[in-house]
Amino acid sequence: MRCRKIVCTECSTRWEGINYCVPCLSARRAAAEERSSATGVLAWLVVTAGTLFAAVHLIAWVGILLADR
Amino acid sequence: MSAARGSVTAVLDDGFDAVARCWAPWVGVLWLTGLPYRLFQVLLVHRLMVLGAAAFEHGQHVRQVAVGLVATFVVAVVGRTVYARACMLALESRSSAGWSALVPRVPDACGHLLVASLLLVVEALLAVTVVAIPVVAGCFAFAAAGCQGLTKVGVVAPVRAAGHGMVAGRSLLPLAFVGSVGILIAFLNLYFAFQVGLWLADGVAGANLATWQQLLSYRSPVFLLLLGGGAALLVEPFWIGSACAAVNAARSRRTGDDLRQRLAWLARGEAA
Repeated sequence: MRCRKIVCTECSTRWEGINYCVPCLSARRAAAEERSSATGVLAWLVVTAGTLFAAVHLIAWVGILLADR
Repeated sequence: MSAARGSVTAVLDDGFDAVARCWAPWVGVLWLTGLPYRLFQVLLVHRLMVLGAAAFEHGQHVRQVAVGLVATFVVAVVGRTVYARACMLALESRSSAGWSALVPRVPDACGHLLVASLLLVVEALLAVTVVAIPVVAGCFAFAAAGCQGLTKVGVVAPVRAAGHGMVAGRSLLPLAFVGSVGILIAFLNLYFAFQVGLWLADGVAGANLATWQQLLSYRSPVFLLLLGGGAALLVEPFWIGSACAAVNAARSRRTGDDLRQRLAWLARGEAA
């Protein structure tokens, strides 16, 4: 297991195919349930949408440049 | 699992093992979501070849095809996220991933989409170079693997995680080279598979294959482009699987999991 503890099979819990001891399972579930902040989500939305928008125009521009050669 | 974990050979072995465990239905998900993207790539390249110098006057049409390309790219990224998670679960548990892996985790999918979008911009800028494209393609695979296990949606964490995956694995360039050779071999195999099919169909009485022989010839640019897209689709599961194995090996070295597993194998008397 990830925490270097040695526990028996009965004391471990299998989650998504991986064995966890009780404290690691609790920590993993807490991490998995961590809520994303509104600022982080907004920043992701702006950056991703901007990048995809730039990608469309860049692909068209580079493609036209290469086709013109 | 081989002894020299982290070496390119071990990464390829582990990656292929993971692919074998994830073959059904995860590779199907990867191919189904990736097929429209590959077809749009073929469409864009073919349109630019046909338009040639007149492409500038048809900029609106080229931009529309680029919009379709990017839209299908987003779908392909989601498929790669699902497949990479299945590979990671298969590598960590040494068994096939459960059906729960079919639904992508939101932080992983969002992080992967962000990093993949940035790589798409880089790929467009480097489109003029031939050498850089396989390396960027390798970066796409490592982005899929590195953005597994994110805890929340953000901007910095996915880029950092993907960067760690690309650097810590130390396998980016070797895997890019192996993947390129794989695509070339897949391309040649597909071409000869079609030629063998034409030859066999030629034996069917009354079959008129003149049109098909022209369409499926090396002189047909569309056919060659479709073969390239098909070869990339065929190699993609193994590329992503190997990237997942490299990232998993790097993470195991950081946590000490690799030493604990090695100790367990030695205790059981298994060969390393």
